[in-house]
Order: sequence, then C-alpha cells, then structure tokens
Amino acid sequence: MATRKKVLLKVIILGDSGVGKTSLMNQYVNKKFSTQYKATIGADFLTKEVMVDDRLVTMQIWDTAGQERFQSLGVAFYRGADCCVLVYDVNNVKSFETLDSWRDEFLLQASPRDPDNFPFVVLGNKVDMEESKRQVSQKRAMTWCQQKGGIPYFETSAKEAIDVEKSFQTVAKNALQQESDVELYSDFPDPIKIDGETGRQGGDAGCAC
Amino acid sequence: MFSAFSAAPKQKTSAELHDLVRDKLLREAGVDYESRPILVIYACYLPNPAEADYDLLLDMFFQRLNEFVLNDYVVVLFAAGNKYQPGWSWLYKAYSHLGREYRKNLKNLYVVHPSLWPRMIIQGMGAVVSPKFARKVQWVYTLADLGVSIPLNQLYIPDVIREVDAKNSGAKVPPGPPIDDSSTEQLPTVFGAPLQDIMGVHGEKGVPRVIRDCIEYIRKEGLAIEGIFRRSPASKQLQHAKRAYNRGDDNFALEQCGDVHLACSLLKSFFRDLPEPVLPAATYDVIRGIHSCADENEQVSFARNAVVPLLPPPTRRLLAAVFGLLHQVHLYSDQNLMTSSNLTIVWAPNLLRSDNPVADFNMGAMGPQGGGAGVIIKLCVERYPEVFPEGST
Repeated sequence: MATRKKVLLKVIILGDSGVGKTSLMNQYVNKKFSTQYKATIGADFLTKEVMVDDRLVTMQIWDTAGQERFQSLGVAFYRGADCCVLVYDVNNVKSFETLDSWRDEFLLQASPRDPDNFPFVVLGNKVDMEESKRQVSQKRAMTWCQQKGGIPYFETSAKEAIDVEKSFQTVAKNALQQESDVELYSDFPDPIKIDGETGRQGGDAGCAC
Repeated sequence: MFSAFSAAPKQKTSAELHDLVRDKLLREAGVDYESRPILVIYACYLPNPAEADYDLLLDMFFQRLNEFVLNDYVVVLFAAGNKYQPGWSWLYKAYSHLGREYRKNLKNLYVVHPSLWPRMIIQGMGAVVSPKFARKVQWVYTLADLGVSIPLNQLYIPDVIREVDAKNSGAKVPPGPPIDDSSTEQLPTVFGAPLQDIMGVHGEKGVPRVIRDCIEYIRKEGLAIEGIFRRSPASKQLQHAKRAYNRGDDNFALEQCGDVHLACSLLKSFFRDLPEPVLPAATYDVIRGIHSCADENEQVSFARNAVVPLLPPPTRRLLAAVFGLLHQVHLYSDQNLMTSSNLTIVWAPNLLRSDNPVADFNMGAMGPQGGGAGVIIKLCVERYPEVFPEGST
C-alpha cells in the first residue's frame, strides 16, 4: 500500500464574490483568518497534504475570483478537477440562488465523464453571523442538495473555523473516490518522467546535473 | 513585424524608391494659413516590405525632408488606407533619426483618419520621448475638420482617402438620445454594440443612458455599501435589466429594482460586452511603459499624456464618467471596504480583454511584475481629477 502512486487531487472552489472562498481555503490550509477585505485576482491555488483512508494525498485547491468575467474562464482551470466545492453565504440569498448556474457552468466547462455522479460539496459559509441576518435556512439548502443527487452539505464559518476541516475532509474523500473511479491519466498524455520512476507534477523536479 | 509579405519578393531599386518617396509618399502642398510650408505624408503608399528596403526608404525620406526643415513647417499625415504597416522598431529608428531642428521646427502634425495603430505609435513615442511633441499632434477625423486648419484645395487626396472619409463622415449622425429607433432584439443596441455606434465616432452622443442611470443611482444609494462592485446581483434581474435597455424601454426604472449591486453589474457588464475591449491587446506595449516612471506623479502624467490619448474619443468619455464614480467610491472605502486595490481587481477584467486570459491577468496585476494596466487603473481611481482633468465632458 505504502508504495502506491502519489495522488494529486484537484479541487475547485466556486461561488459568488464575497461569500468567503479565499477565507475558507486559507482557514483550511493555513489555519488563519484575515479580516482584511480583499478581492481575489484571477485564480490561485494552495496545496495541502492530507491523509484519506490511510493514504497520503496532495490536495491542490483552486481558489477562483467570483467576478463575472471569470465565470467563463473555463476549460483550462476546470479540466481535470476531482471535486468541485460550491460556496454560498447563508446571509445572502442571492449567493445561494446562483449555485445552480455555478454548478452548470462547471459541468459545462470541465465536462467530466460522468456528470451525474461528479462529486460536488456545498458549503453554507458565514454561520458565525447573528441568526437574525440569516437568509437561507438549512432546510432549504439541504433540499437543493438532495435534488441535485444528494450533494454533501456543510455549514461553515471560515472566521471561527467551524466545520472547515470536516467539510474539506469530505471533499478529499470524494475527490479520491472520483480519482480512482476514473482510470488514472486516461484523459491526458503521460506526464514526462524525469528519472523514470517518480513522474512528479511539474515545478519542483529539480535539475539533477 | 510587418503585417504582410508577398510570396515572390522583387526588390525595388533605389531609383524606384527615390521616385516613390518624391512622387507618392511625401508631397509638398503649398503653405498653410500662417504661411508655413505643408508637407503631406501618405501612409497608403507605403511599399510592401518584401519588395522594399525600409532602411533605404528611410534615408530617402530624410533626404527629402532635409529640404524643408530648416524653417517652421507643418505635416499632414494621411494615416488611413495603408496596406502595410512598418513595425515599431523601424518607426523608433525613424524617430531617433529626427534631428533637433526637425522636431523643433515642426509646428503641427495633423494625423488624418487615425486608427488605433497610428494613435498608439505617435502618442506612445511622443509622450515617452517628448511631451512637447505630443502637444503638437492633432487628431483629425474628417477632411472637413482638416479644412479648418489646412487649405484643402492645395492637397492631393487619393481616392482611397476619400473613401475612408466618406465612411467616417457618413457615420456622423446628429446628436440625439442614444437608444430610440431600433427595437430589434437580434442586433445588440446597447450591450454588445460597438461603442462608436452608441456614442458616435467623436463621442458626440454622450455616454449612453444605461451608464448615466447606473452612475446616478450608485452615487445616490451605493457609495457606502460594503463590497460595492464586488458582490453579485441576482442573475435573472441582470438579464431582465439588460434586455430592457437593449429594447430602449423608457418605462424601465433601474431604481425600482432596488439593488445597487444590479447597477454595478450592469456597468461592468456593459464594458465586458463591448465588441472591442477599452484596453485592447494592441495597447499593452505602450501601457508597459508606466514602469519606467520614476514616481507616482510621473505615472499620473504618463497615464494622462500617453495612455488616455491612445483611446478613441467615445472610450475616453466613457472612462472619464466611470472613473469619476470609482474615485468617489474609493473615497468611501472606510465604509464600503472597496479600496482602490479592490476596485482595480474587480474592474481590470472588464477593461482588459485579449484572447489570452493569462496575459490579461498579468496586465491587470498592480505590482512591478505586472503589465502596467493595473497600476494605471488604480491611478485613475485614486487620482481621477489629475488623469482626467476635463472630466467626462
């Protein structure tokens, strides 16, 4: 088991501007929350190594700008994703109502092999805010997730670190499931293997000369 | 880079080039109303670079020019109708060959029918190398306008130029409400329509109603709202509003939708839907020049003198109107949290658009490693009154 091929899971976070995508990623990867109000430029990713069912996997988490222009950023970013995290703000009903179009957009762009069974996870963020501000009930969100084929649903707070770890654990697990369902690299040309053995993902394969 | 090459290059002899320069490319046209000799340059006669040695051409050009430049002179450049475009490096060479007396004695340069290409080159060089030079340049969009400064009957005007002029002048329609007659849904009338169709070639029709409505509404209700221009509206409402403006529906009242974020998205959407982005990839080279500015004040004058004049008049008016608003939004950033950086991040993708999103990201970045557009957009937000001294009128 220990000598199994190293797994890289690509996870995409989508959702309207200001729902907390960057904050969730930062809380999960760096255990930090910044109160600075800052829009995200384009797309960026962080990686984190996690244990899933006794397997060490590397999660590459793509944080995207919620700006409209990037909704059609498309193919290059979405392709090869193993799981898509849809985030909305429980205090903002519009951000919930756009989940449909984010999901459709993702399926269209990523065109996964089996769209009906592609793993999504929905996060209702900012549950730390006072109850009176809440605009989307848990029930409403869960009903939507059921209608879409039983998408796992979590209520989170990136600020207070509520259920962030737990939800991303599910993300990792479902992504890994997806990754082993799809025959490895079947969609892509083989990666160039520098030393014949490890075939690592780009970047850090240093020069051996 | 040259824009065209022929398959079977047959080099012109230097005698042929000499004749070309004397008879076609460069002509004398008497004196202007202040008795200064007029030189006319015809870009439409530029030879195919595969058939002509452009370095040799440049020499001939200067030989001919030498006869005039000892005293004051004016130049009329017919920029349109050219099949071949000399590249940046050649033009730069040409410019650097110009001795001091050429530049000093040149009193006016009238660029007639400028498309984006000559505007970029001339403005870019002028402002980078010499702001004084930039002030001598006048952009002329019709022959009628040229006639105000230059006695037209002295000029030889090739047919190709007359054709371009007929097209340009024909597009000139009397000012009126931007959206009235066309109620068809097929052709975009507002969102997705070319800016010069909406605002007129010279921007004479003013900023379109949707922009005015949005700006007014946001000024009134939105300045203090957190995440203004960042948050999204309901997408159905957005589609509804866009259709209403495209129909020219006078009964549609933006304020009744009761959502400032809707107005913000409409604004951004208008820019994204333009068939030509306001900062097209062709401007990137000039924009990158901002990094050679020593300090922020220099950057401001670069933006004002080198970048803004590159843009066609309707674009300038539109940007002046929108940056006026963004400047105000930024002044309220302690309440709305939208600092100039945040505004730049959310606006850059709407202003920059080439077919390469990665290049666009890079252009929009604000740091020294970025392409420069981010820096310029941020300056326009922070120091709007200096970058757009005349405002939007």
